Amino acid sequence: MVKKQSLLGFAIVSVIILGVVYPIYYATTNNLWRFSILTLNDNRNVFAHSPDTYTRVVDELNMTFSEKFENVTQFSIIANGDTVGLSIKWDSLGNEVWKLLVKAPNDAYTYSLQQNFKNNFTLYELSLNGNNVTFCLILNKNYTRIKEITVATSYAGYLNITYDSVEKLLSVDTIGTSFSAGVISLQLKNTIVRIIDISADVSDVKMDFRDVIINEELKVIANVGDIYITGYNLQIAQDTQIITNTGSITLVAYNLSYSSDTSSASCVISSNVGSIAVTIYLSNATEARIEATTNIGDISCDEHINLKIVEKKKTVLVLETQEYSETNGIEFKISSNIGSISLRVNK
Amino acid sequence: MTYPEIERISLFEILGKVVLNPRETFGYIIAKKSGPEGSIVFLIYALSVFAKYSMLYIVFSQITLTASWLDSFSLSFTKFTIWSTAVSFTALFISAIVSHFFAKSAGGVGEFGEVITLFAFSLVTNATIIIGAGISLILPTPFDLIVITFSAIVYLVWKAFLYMLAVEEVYGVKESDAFGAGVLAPLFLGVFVW
Repeated sequence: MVKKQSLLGFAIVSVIILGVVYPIYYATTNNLWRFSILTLNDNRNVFAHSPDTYTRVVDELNMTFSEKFENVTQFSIIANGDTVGLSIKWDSLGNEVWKLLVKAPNDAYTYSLQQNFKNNFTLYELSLNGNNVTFCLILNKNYTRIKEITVATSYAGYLNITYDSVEKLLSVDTIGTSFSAGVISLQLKNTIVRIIDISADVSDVKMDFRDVIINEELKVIANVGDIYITGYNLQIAQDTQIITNTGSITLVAYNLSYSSDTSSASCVISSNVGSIAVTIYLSNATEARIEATTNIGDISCDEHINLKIVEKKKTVLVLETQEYSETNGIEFKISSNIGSISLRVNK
Repeated sequence: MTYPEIERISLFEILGKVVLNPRETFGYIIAKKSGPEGSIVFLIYALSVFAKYSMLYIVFSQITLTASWLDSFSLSFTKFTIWSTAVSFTALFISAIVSHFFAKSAGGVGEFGEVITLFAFSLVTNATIIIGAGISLILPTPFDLIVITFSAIVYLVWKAFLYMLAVEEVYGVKESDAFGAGVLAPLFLGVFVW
């Protein structure tokens, strides 16, 4: 017969084993194991986004800021171009906040850089003039409440805003860019943003959202460029507009919902000439209506699990979830003038 | 001279007995002198400490107030659990050293190896924090904070009781001296709470 002391001892050991196994599982599934820390000394890591081989690395921002960057987050803003303008607003800004690196292709290239702190160090403005130069701004992980990021370039360059941390939540009020050409790339994880406003002429726009909430507005407008948006656990804004003239649009979103601050959301996806491909897996609690229209293009729908077809013509296709109403759900309006529309919408 | 044979009991039973009848069990562990439990208990101690701090980290990271503390100290899961486990192990040794020193000063007779083994057996108290943290995870704020605080208080009181008994049994000193050597001295050095 088993003694009660043995059972109690077995229970204690079981609790300890559960206490070991569950946190290991939790840390693994939430990517909490971090054995290496990115430091600025290793520029290959910092500039991992750029395949270019630059020969000169210049630290521009020594000033009074500390050199300690043991805990630099994977939050970086990298921009490239002949003329680059950047402004960032914080609620407050202390020491040991950031570091700025500027890279030119080689020693023959020249550039000039002007930067200003304003409003009691809560506004930073940078203007970079040169010939194909790149700057990288890396923020300390303790300062992740940013009011506004605005970036503009005058020539074909690229912009890459990356926040790749699962441990902290980045809170940004507004991300705004204006590009004439080049590539705009936005990769956000664990982030809450109020407004994203991207304006591009011939630039391609690539956006990847993981566990991101966009509260009020997502506006991506391009003229010639293509727009690629991928999302996982994405809550789209109350007002979402993804528009291009001649470019194509690709939207792939898993577990899509809309901001809990609102009861409904509208999403306009439109291209004049380009094709549109939309793959959406709605979250369980999200209702939606998808209205796809085209003038002379084709509309195809490969899959629509848990969405009923309300209307189907050659130029119009309307799908709805069971409990969709105007005040409860996302209304997608997808239109293309002469481009084709390809849909896969499931719930 | 031959000593009477002491009945060998399983580690599970010893752990259960530490909870139900700690004084008698500590006496048994001292009398038994050695056995596989003597070394394996330190492994289980390390596991229990890891479990305790990793569960605490998960709870803290989900409570807004404590999450901001973790953030402000830049404490990641890896850093928090590994450092806490290492510090806890060191604290066990320091506690045993100061208790040994003070108990000897109070006229006690006993061995350092015995007291550190008994201190390690007080790992059973870590179960209160692990269970408390597990319950906290499913409770809304502020009940999660209340439960984790309550379990921490139970843990400290229970641990103080076991440490005092351990010093008393090993060194044969008075209860008040055992409390001073086993609890107050490590508490004063800041190693008791680990």
